Amino acid sequence: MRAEQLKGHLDALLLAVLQSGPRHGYAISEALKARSSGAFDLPTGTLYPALQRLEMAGLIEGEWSEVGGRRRRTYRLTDRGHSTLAEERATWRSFANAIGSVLGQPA
Amino acid sequence: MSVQASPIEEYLAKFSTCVPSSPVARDMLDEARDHLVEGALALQSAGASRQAAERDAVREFGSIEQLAVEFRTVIMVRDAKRQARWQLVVVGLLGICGFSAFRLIPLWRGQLSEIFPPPLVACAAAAALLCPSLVLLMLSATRRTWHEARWTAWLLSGRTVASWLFVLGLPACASMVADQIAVLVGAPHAWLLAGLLGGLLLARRVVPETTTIFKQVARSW
Repeated sequence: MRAEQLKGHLDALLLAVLQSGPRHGYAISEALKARSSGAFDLPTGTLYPALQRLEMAGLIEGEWSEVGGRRRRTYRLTDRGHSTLAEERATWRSFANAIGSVLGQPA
Repeated sequence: MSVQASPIEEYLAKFSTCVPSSPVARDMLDEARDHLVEGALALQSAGASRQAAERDAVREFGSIEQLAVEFRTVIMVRDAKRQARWQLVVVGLLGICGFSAFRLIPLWRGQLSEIFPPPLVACAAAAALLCPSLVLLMLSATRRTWHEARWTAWLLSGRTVASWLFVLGLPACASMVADQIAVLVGAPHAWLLAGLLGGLLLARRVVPETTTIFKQVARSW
């Protein structure tokens, strides 16, 4: 699946990955890869502007730490992020059901 | 034996030339470095050489041409938000100073005859500082549409206008407040100079483009 197809869904995917606990950027990209079985073919660098957008929207919050002499930012879901993720999930389910009911049945 | 340059550091050095220089950009590049180094370490532990691992990590991260536009937009929005907040803080402080100079100090010193409304020009200058800062904050706080090209163009224009008004208006407003203080306590030259310099230094701290703006003003004269 290419980056263009993921546009519009990336924010929800990032929220879903962060639901299980705080992660830094690389761990987020690895979790995304593992959970999608490598189906998402997007440059990992595109995650960072998306993470910044989510942080500006108050859905996640980041915290700096130092690991091996490098600065690392770890993100976690905020309360608003949890409720937005629940809404996104509900929207996706009804969308997928509607599309599936049309595409899934032969004419 | 020659030491080979690190592909990660070369990539980050090139990337830093494609995004505006700001604290937000430095933070994003630090995050990118952490990601790239982690990725390279994982590849190295799987048997790749250091150079090959770093090259692969860079390739997976994405080309600079591909990423720079999105990075630039995010950096621009965050910078605008930061600048708008600081502008509002400074304008608020200036308002407190102005209120003290025009009202509280005369009252405190019993110089009731010295109390007069702030000159119209001071009110207009304060509004010229306050309004663009509020507009900039509003533009940068928009959640859903801010990354759209038209919106970012508005934001960029808004920031330019706010920066110019702030950089030129703050020293002028600070001088007016200082002038009023001088009327009450004497030493007009020292107060004027302090107001002007204080305004300039604050403007420079809040708006990174202050020097560029003054250079442009000087050139146009």
